[in-house]
Formats: sequence, C-alpha cells, structure tokens
Amino acid sequence: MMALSPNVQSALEIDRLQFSWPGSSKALLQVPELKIAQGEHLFIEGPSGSGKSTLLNLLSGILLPQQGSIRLLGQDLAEMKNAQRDRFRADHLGIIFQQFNLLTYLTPIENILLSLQASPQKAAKVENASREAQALLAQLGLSSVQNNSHSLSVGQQQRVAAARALIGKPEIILADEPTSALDSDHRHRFIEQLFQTAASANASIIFVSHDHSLKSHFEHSFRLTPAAEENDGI
Amino acid sequence: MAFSSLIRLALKSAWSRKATLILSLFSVAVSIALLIGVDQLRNHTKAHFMNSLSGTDLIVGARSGPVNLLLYSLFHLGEATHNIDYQSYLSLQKMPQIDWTIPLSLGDSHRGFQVLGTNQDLYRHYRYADKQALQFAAGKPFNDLYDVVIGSEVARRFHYSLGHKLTLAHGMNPQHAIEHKGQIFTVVGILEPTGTPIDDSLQVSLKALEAIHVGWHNGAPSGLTLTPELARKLAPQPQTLTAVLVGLKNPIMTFKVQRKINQFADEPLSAILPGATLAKFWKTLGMFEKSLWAIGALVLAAALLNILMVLLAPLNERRREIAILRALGCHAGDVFKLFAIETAALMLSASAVGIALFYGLLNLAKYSFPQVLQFMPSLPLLTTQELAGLGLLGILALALSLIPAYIAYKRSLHDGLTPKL
Repeated sequence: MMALSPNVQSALEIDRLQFSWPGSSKALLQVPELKIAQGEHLFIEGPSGSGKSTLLNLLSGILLPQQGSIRLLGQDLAEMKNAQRDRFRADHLGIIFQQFNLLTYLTPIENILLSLQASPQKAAKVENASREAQALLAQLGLSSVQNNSHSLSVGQQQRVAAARALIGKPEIILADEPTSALDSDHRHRFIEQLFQTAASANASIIFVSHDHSLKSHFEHSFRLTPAAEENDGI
Repeated sequence: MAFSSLIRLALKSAWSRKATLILSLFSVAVSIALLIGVDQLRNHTKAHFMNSLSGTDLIVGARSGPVNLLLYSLFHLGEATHNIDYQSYLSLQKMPQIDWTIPLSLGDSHRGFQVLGTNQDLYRHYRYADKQALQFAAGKPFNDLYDVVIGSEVARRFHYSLGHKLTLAHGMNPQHAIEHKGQIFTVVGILEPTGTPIDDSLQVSLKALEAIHVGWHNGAPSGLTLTPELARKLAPQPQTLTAVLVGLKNPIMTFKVQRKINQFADEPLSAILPGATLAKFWKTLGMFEKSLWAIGALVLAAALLNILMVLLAPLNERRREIAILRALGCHAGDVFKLFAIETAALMLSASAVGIALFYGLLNLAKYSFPQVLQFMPSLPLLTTQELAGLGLLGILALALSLIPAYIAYKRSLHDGLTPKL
C-alpha cells in the first residue's frame, strides 16, 4: 500500500465508469469522469431509479464496474481481491445509511466502537475509544445518549451512525441520504455538524441524495441521470 | 473482524432474539435428554438383565427350549411344562465334573411373590453381577422346616421384619392361589437388594414345600393337613424339582457336560448356558430397543428442523444487520461465521440443558419409582457412545446452520449495503 498524504491525493477518481447487471445489455449507471481531492466534499444528486444504490455499492467496493475504473485514495478497487476490498472499506471508509443504521442489540457507544473492532488500523488512531466516541457525539450535537439504541429518535440514531462512520478518522465518508428521515430544520443542522466534524478529521464526504436543496453545502456536485427509464431503481 | 468480536456480536445478536431461541433450545434439549435417557436405560436394563446370574455354568431343567427354561427358572416368568425327577438331581450331584448345584422348586407364591424352594446351597453358591454372593441384611438362612428367607423387595413392599409370620399359597395368581392354611412360616432372614429376581422371592427349604403339599393331588388341596410337629418329624424327601443351577469345577468342560446332560438316560433333560441364552433372549428384545431409538431419532430430527426454522425465520429481519456489518468492512465470510457461532452456542447450551434435564428427570423417576430404578446411579456417567452421539449431533447442527448461513451470505453479496426491505 502506498503512503497516503492528505490534501495532495485525490479522494475519489472515477473514469468512464459503466455498470450494468449481468444479462442486461443497457448500462444502468454511467459516470464519465469525476475527481475530488482529499478533504473536499461531493454531492451526488439522483432521482430514484438513477442507480444511487448501485453507485454506493460500487464506491464501497461491494460491486465492481464492468468498464472504467474507480480509484479511492489512488487505489483501484478492481485491482484488489475481495478480502482486500473489505479491509479497505473497514480502514478508509465510513458509511452512513438513510436509516436503521444501528444494531439495536448494542448500545449506541458499542455501535460506534464496532468500527474500531472491524479495523485495527482505525483502532490504532484512537487513544481512548469510548471517550473519543463521546466526543464525536458531542461534536455532532448529542451531548448525552441513552444506553438503549431502541429508544433513540431518528435524528439521534443518525448522529450515532455519523459518529460510527467518523471514528478512527477514515479518509472518506459515504453517506446515503442520511438526512431523508429528518425534517428540514434538523437536516441542515445535521449536515453542518457532519461537515465540521469531518473537517477536523480532514475527511471527504460523498453524499448521495435526491434532495438538491442540500447541494449548496458542497463544493462539488454530480447529477446521476437514469440510464434506462424502464429500470426499476435497483 | 476478529473472531472474539464475532463471538460477542453473535451472542448479543442471538440474545436479542432470545424468546424464539430459548424455545428451540429447549426442544433440542428435551430430545437430547430423551436420547440419553433411552440409551442409559437400555444399557442399565441390559447390564441388570445380564447380571442376574454369574458363575453358573449350566441351568438344567425338563426338556424344553433354552429361552423358555431360562425365563421360568431364573426370571420366574411362565411355568415349567414338566418338572425333573429328584433322582436326576442326585445323579447330577454325583457327576465328577460338577462342583456345586442349587435345586430350584417353583410354583407357590406369597401375595403374588414367587416362593423358591431350594436348600442352603443357594446362599453358598449363588452369584450375581460381578460374582457377588447373596448378603443378609438381617437374620440368617432358613434352618427349620417353617423358616422363610425373604428378598429385599418383599420386605420393602410389605414391611416384613424378622419374626413376621406368613403363609404360602399354591399357584402364582394371587386371586386364585389356594392358601396353605395352618402352615405358618416365620421370617428368619432378609436379603440385601441384588437387582435380580431373588429380590422378589421368598425362599424356603425343599422339604417345607413338600410338607405343605402332603396329600395334594393335581393341584387340589387335601382334607388332610399335617400339624407342624408331625410335618417336622415326617418331612418327606421331595419328589421333583423345577430346575437345577450347576457350577462346574472347570468351565472348559461346559459343552461336554451339557451334551452329557442333554443325553441323560433316565429322563429327557435340557442343559443351557445361561450367559449365551441371556444374550440370545436380549436379542429378541431388540425390536423394543430399536423402536426406542427410532422414536429418539425422530424427536431429534424434529428438533434439528426446529433449529433450522429458528435460524431461517429471522433471515429477512437480519438483512439490515448484515448490511451494517458489511458496511463496517466485515467479509461476507464473517456473516457465515456469525451463523455458525450462533448455532454452536445454541447446541452447546442445548446439550448442557439436555444433560441436566436427563439427570433431573432420572432422579425424579428414581424418587417416584424407587424399586424400578434403585440400581441406577443418581448421576450416571455418559458413555463414550453417548458423548460421541452428542458430538455428532453438534456437527449435524453446524452443518444445518450452513444452509441459513449460505443464504445470508449470498444475500449479503447481492444486497450489498442497500437491502430492499
């Protein structure tokens, strides 16, 4: 693995990416070119059916493109083996889903620490894990948190999920409509808090959403267009 | 993810679904307890059965099938078609290869328990289990004509103690047996429990049986009854016996002596090898044994299907959980491991609960039916066969867990981070 120096390196480089499901002749997803530097944020806007989920799976190395390439932190995901891609995801990515981010049988803090258990590299960057988790939560606007993940509000759940994505200073945060379950007031506040916390870790946020009112927060944006109208939004 | 973290995660995840898991754990535990119970009971019964006699080389009776002879002479089941002549018994005693004999005369009873007419050779030579002799819990062998020694079960059931007076009855059926009125026997000895049919018997001398049957004809009582004083004086020699247990000086001679007895000139006799015949009889009980096993196996199959169901049912709700773990960088293989760990934990606890359940039920049964299970230890060790069976069961369950694990694994590859719920 090459040494990574922040700010010099590009966080994401997409080159003539094409993806289609096996057996389908039409490309589901096409991204000609996209590049953002480490520390910069990208807004990917796409209506439903434009392949957002697929792009998310491609960016996290779960799916591989048939054509073109995706480079994260300078590394081509397609050149890695399966286990290496999993490792890369654990070490360099933090992922926030639209909702239901938490394992309800773990406490919120345990949910956050799961990131460190999955990645020794992240764990090595954190001195006092539970204090760091608390600090992140506070930064994200959640100063006190119950022990029961069930009883958290959606906004609290998303903040715990954000803390889990951010702990251990991953270079890239992948966020899949993390604010769609929040009302508009909370939405902007959440994004601001997410940005501030990401900035202190120098992380790049790749934010996928169909809500283009959020676009103004980002210096880069990209609009996914439905490649085939008849596809049902896989 | 490190294996220790996976274990913690799997257990916490399983605990969050504890209601269904505990139910299926118990269904597996019950079938494990049942299987162990069936096997233990079978081993115990077999050992018990095989232990009824030891050191006896031959059983001699009137000409009949070996199993039949074994059943009526040793287990007091069924009746002898013919008796053997007392003279034949005396001839047997004179055979040079024969070390000792125990005469047995059956046919009378006391409140449904078998009366054994014999002599003191019973206490001298009878051996059971691991060459153990009969031991007296109280008293001594019979001496007087009207002395009776009782087995432990007879003493326990009727609370008889030394000095107790009792009468005998002709025939085995308590409803139809005709009482030998006026012939009062005194309990002079009580035997220790042996786990053999001796426990269920009362022993008197051959002469006593002869004396109480004086004047009887074809099973009908006579008007004439001897007074005890007269009976002691007259005490006629017995005419017939039911069977004779024979010990040889050298067991190598067994087959030779057996052949000789089978070709006995004065009357048709049969000599059987008790060990071989016991084994043969046990084999005829094989159907029973096999059906117990079959029931156990079916219960087990049901339990395993239950495990499978319990693992498959929450697969859908767990898709989100698996997507979260995948997002955190877990390998698809980790998903597989999570299911295997959960199944292993389930099986381990089910085995522990099953074994505890078996011990609990056994002791409950011992408490409720002390006479049936008195020779069964409270905490019998599991046989290697049973442990191997448990191991096999665990492997089988792990193999079954591969099905949901594989489905979850395939799904997680397909769902990636975005399961459609």
